[in-house]
Amino acid sequence: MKPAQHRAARVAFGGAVVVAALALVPAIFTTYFTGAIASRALILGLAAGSLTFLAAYGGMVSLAQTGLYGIAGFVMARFIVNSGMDPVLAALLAIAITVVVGLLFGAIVSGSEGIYLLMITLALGVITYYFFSQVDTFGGHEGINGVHGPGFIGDPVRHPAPIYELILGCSVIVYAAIRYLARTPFGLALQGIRDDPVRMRALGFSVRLHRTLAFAVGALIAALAGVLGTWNDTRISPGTIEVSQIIQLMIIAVIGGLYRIEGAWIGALVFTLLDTYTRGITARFQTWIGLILLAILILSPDGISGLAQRAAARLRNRPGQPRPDEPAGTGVEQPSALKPGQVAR
Amino acid sequence: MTATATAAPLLRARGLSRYFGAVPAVHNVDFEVVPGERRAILGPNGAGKSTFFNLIAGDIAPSEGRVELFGRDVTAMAVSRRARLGLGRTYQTSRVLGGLAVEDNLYLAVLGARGGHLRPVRGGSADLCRRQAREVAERVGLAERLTVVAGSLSHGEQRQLEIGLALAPSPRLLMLDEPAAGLSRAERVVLTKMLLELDRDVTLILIEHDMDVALTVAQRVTMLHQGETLLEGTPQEIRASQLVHDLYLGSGHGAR
Repeated sequence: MKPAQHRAARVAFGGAVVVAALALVPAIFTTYFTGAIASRALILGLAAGSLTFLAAYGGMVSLAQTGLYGIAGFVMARFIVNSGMDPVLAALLAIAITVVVGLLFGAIVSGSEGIYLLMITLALGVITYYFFSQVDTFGGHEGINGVHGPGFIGDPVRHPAPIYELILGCSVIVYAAIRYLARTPFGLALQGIRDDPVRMRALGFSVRLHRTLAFAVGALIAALAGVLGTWNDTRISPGTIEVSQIIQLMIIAVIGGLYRIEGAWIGALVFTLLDTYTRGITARFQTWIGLILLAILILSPDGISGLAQRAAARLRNRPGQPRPDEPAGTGVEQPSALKPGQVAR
Repeated sequence: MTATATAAPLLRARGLSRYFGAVPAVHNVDFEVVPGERRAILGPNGAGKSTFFNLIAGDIAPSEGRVELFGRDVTAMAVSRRARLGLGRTYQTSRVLGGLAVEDNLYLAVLGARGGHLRPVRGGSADLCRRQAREVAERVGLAERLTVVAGSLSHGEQRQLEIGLALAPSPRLLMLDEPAAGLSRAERVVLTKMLLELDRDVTLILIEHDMDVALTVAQRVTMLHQGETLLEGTPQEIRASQLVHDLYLGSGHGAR
């Protein structure tokens, strides 16, 4: 297994370089870039990551992730602002509550697939939005303002570096954890269920239980994004989780690629850059993002990450050289082997 | 208990029926298989063979009747629980886990019977399970294809993996739905040999259109026609039956 080890070492080294470069962002770029673009992209990436995790490994395209983000954000904000609770304790409680709600959501959707799952999770996301926009306990339409994070974060608006590094650290941990989980019995079985739930049942797996627990994992990731996002914004309002935001997260995940987990962060970065810099050039940001989405869906249904992977594969296999076998069973998971159409089955 | 257990049937279906609308796909079938038996189920297309399989494995619920497996009533039991009791099956069209490597497919099949499906950490019994998975790959002739993604295997290889998925959990009852369908003559010979070499403890029920494979492997044959048991007998009796010839052999056998 020499070549596989070699490849794994190269990938690990490349990953370390990327993380180190990202950690230097506050030192190199302006305060504005760090706060408005880098931090925001990482939070959106984390939120989209919860969607991509469910889609890539579970075959479940969920539109409830924005709602779960909101549950964590609102519950934590309420604990901090109204109850004066310690921010970290409030965050942990909010994450726990969100995971419980995620289990409930998972139990509801675990019997559905494809378009039905998409519609049920959309309904759950919209219900969550209406709940928070109409219940006064959570500030109603106004939301909750003045949510301060733990002391070491300081003021995220004037000094975005500390919270940026925290968000980066959380993103790296979540990414690594998902990659690890993919090769455990739980993760492999989840991919099996994605490929053929009927077969997995016949092999003795409890498909609904497995999907429900996967949904809870997705809820955990979305909750983490909700906590960090609310700390970063120092506020949360129903507008944060309305339908346009649900669709925006879906667009981010699709732009990055629904079949590779890193696609979530790639899509979030591309989206945030476009969102920020095209606004100065054109008032038609929505039109441009729509055109870009269309172009990506036509040219590369598995998003930018899929495009990048094919380009890298082409570079590796220059003409005249035999194509090396992909080490599918040697410790590197291969969600790219999943054809785009499979998720929609 | 042991004395009665050996005599008791491993699988018993009583008055099993399944209607799709008003149409009976399977109608009032009584069926018994003793431990270690090799049984073939024959019948023309639409005779209800696959529906009968799905009723026994639990993929569909019966309209009437009961299913007893390994001495317990499993009529209301979920598919996954019947599988964990020791029922392994293949499907008429291959159901392999297309996005995963061959080894991962077989690893999950081993894991399915062993439990620990929800473990979120690596290690543990993984090495043992993977060794078992590779042994199964060897048995079904996929030892060289372990790292290939199952979705990119050829049709014949997917049929081999399909049987591997049923064998890997070491089931007590193995149910194969047309394992020879779409295989070349040479592949059928390999398949027949593999079925004949099966552990004698394993009970086998086989749906097969290929009479050579079915009548070589089976000790007893059940003939289904329009959802009902037409006759049951040894392969010799089936070969000699004029009824079977008229219904089944006359139309398709030899043409392929």
